[in-house]
Amino acid sequence: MMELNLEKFQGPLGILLKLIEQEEMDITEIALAKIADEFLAYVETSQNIGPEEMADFLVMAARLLYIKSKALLPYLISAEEEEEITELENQLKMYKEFVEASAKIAELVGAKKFLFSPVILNKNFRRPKKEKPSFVPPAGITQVLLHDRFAELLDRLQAKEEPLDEKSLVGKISIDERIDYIREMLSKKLRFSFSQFLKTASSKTEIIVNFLAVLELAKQRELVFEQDELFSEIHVVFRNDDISN
Amino acid sequence: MNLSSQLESLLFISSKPLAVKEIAELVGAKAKEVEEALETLAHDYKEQNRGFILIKNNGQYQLTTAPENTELISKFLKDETSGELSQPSLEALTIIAYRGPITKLELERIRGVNCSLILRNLLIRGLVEEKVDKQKNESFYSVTLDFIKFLGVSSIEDLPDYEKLHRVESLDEVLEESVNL
Repeated sequence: MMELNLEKFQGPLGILLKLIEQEEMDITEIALAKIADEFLAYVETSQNIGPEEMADFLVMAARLLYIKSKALLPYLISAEEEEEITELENQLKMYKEFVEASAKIAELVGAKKFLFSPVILNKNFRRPKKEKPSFVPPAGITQVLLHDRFAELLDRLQAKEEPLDEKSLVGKISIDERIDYIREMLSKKLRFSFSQFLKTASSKTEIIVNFLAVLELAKQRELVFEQDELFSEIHVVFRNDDISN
Repeated sequence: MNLSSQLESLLFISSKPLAVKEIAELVGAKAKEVEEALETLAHDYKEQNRGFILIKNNGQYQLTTAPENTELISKFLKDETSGELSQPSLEALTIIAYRGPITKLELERIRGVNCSLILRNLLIRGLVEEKVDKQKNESFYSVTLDFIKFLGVSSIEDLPDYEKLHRVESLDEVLEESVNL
């Protein structure tokens, strides 16, 4: 079952191509920036991405977000970073060429022009059934030879790069959770002091998460900030559409 | 002695693909001569619309039935080859066919995903073969003669747009750049 899933699995480049084709756009930076959100939505909702492939998808998501941020803030991008973007464009274009070629290969296979090489037929003019696999040591095999081959094999296996140190992410608190929490708070209190709110955090990460959550809600126009004068206390206020106009 | 007549007899009697090197040793000729003679044979068979063709892959040659007669031969052999390949397998095979011999890393760079499982499946099905380069300590993958037979072409050079895709300009750049990432 698992095998089947992986066989059907389409990688991040395949998904990218599909999204761009849906938009009927060429492979350009603009197209990539445009589909960044759709790609993220796919990664978030798709059931088809296994944990192993998730890494490939996340790397691609990061690259796309980067391209999108460039579209928004072009003056912050260096020439070197510019190259990275063209690289993704090129990679995608090349992948597309091979996808198109694979369609032609599929046609060849579909045409069923299989070639047959000489076979010895049995009495019924059928090809003899494949023999059951059995092990026959090749002629001239010696203990030393076996030993050497095995040593070679081990060499190859061990020559693999040393694995990086593993560190797992500590699941502390997510922005989504924080957003829900703030929503609930605002539904009860309508406004709260931003600095007081940040003080409730127990770690640096949590402060950052709090901060991002508030920003996200501001972006989604669920709340507004109020500040009486420069450097004074900032208040986070529930945004009520009836009043705000 | 007529080299091409000798080659023809060898090809005719062998049910396994023959390597140029192997043939050269047998007939006592230079590999290059043998290769040229084989190419001429392959060309002639095609020109004369014979019932068999000479196919090649990775320096190996074999006589097979002509693609026009597949239906007839399948009927005769009661062959049940279905020719089904999943999209990812097809994609991987396409890249290996056009770009082979290719390393796993290159393949993954082009497809943008891990290809271990797919490669293993293709190896088991005999559509792809692995060669270890001891000096570079790296494995290179290419498609097999069985895959060529499966497609009904006489060599990978006959695939559509082979020249173009075999040497996509940007490819080497992309691979180069990705190493520095």
